[in-house]
Amino acid sequence: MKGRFFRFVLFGLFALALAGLSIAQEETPGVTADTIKLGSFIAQSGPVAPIGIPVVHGAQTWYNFINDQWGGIYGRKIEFIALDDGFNPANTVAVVKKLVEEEKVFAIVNPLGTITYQAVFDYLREQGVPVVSPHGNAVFMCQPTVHTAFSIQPNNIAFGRTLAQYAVLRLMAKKIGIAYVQDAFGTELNYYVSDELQKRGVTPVATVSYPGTETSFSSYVLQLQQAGAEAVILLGYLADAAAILREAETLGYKPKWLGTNTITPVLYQLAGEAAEGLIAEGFATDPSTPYHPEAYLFTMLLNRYFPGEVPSGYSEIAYIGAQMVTDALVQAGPDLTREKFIAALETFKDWEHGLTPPISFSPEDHCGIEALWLFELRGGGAAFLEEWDWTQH
Amino acid sequence: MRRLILWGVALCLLALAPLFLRSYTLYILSLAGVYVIATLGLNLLTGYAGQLSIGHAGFLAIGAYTSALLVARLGLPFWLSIPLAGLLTGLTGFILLVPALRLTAIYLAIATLGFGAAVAEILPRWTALTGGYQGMKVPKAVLFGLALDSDVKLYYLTLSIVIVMLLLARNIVDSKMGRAFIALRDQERAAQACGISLTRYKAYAFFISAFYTGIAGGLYSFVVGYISPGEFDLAKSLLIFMMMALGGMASLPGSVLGALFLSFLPHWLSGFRGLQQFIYGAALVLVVIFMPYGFWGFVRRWTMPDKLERLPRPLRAVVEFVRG
Repeated sequence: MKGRFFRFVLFGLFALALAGLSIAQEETPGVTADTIKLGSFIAQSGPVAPIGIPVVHGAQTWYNFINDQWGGIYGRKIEFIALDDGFNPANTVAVVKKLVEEEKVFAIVNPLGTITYQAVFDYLREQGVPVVSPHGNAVFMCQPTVHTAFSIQPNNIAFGRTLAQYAVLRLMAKKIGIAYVQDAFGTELNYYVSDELQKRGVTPVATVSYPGTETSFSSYVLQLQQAGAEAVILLGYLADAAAILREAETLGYKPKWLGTNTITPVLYQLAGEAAEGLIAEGFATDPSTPYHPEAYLFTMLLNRYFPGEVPSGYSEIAYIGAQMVTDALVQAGPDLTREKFIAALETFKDWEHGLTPPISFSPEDHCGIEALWLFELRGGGAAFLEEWDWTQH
Repeated sequence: MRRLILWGVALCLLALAPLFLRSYTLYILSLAGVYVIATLGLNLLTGYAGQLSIGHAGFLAIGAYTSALLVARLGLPFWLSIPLAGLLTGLTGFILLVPALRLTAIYLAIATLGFGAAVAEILPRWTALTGGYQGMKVPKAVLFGLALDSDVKLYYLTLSIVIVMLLLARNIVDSKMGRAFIALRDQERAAQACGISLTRYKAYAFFISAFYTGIAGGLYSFVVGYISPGEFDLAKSLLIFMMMALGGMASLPGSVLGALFLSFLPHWLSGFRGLQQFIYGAALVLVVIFMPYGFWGFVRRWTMPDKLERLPRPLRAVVEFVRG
């Protein structure tokens, strides 16, 4: 009799505990009456810090503005926790576990890096944590579509195919050379550029690749020159592009240069006049554009919260990503859940705040920008050439 | 007896850790366990046998890719893939034996550096096998039908492998082989005159060291769940070297302390934005100045000061290596 009673009590306690657990689980992680916790992994130390710190500041600027101007979203202030992973995937796993399991963030927003995101991609999907606007061009970020992952940046398919199409169809180049950096970014881009050229019946006259630590570029440039490339596609970073341009200038080699979204007018500071005439692709308005109200607002806000910080493409894209996050939070309504947030993002049609081409999502397609903007470096700045949608050509 | 109780208490604490630690800390502990094994491997080679190596990230990479590929491509069970990774890495250790029989001291260090750099260059280029710069995802470890999918399970796995490897290392050090290593390190010619075969024991040392680091690499790929060539660079070789030097050369508990300290330090410092590198560097300099025998030497100073002189100092040891 006593034993049965004891078992009954035990069962009751167990049921209560279960009920308590299920109630606790129904609560949306990271959302309280007056805060929404958003997390991110962004390298703020080590070699990638010069990119990571502007990214943190750009996103923080918009979240601060929303908090100060409107007191947050439906009375909830946004708390943005950007942890430093040092751009090391093993560390990314650690900080993401901390964000998801200790801080219990609502979503991961504006994370930085391809290999770092790759390391936690499956974990975040299994945990059902939404990820919005990762900084990186890798294809896996939005293809194949994952219910919880949304990208703004175009991926390497768009960047690679656009450059190849533009060189063949617009510049009418017959002899095309490629120079790419040996890492995840350069090799993936080279794959899509070469594939697109092949589709158009063009075989590159020379393809050179260099390690990311390379400092002397004369042999690579000489190879391109001897192959007689009239157009050279540069798939690397700003510093290597500058070194290649300077080397070509000394050799008297003047092909038409094409570069990807890593090239900005900052190239003039590194390569001088050799930068003139380079065609680059991008997807956001240069923050220094005059008479542009949105670019002005961004520059002004960034200077309010981070005095002395020079606006760059990195902080600007993070700022745009933050705008998308807050817009989706507003649309998701006051009773916030992750599913409502995802549903809100999936209804975005031609979304833009004036700094990017229009962005559309659907339940089947979580890739943001497809059409790219092409610029030509002229007189120290970037002159807009045209919008190019690679799927239309 | 007192020592046994002390180790028993430490073991109980570690075994009960998942009850009061969170998954984030458990993950870092597991990762630290991986480095404990790698540091043990390096310590057997450098601390005991006196062969300087700054290319151990190469072994770690070979172990990590071997176990990951064995499971992902050949569908081998996970428990088999780690020992196989250790054995294969151990065999690659013989590559370093070739220069080690001809070179000494700093010249050997340069050769090991070259080995590490070569592995780091080959991995991304062998795209068909390794997936190139993008790296590869590692399938979840499954042990006899039980999926090791949580940090707690991975922690217990790592802990048990660390204990086995520690006991094995202790037996190696206390055996005839361990004494031969030490004899060759301290007086190469005298040891040979006593009948110790230089070639054979150097071969053992490189095999064992690479085997340990291969096991660590195999475990690394399952703990992190993703590997890419960029992680196994010179910085990682130096990290393992620092773990050994800070913990204490020729000391097994020292390897544990050094690996734990350097695994947790960056996470403790993550709050000091911008100051991390400075504090990190300063901490290392302070340890070398005030704990010249490493952490374990510092502990030993209180527990058994009479044995202190038997421990080699990290800096002095390096200087001796350089002199040859």
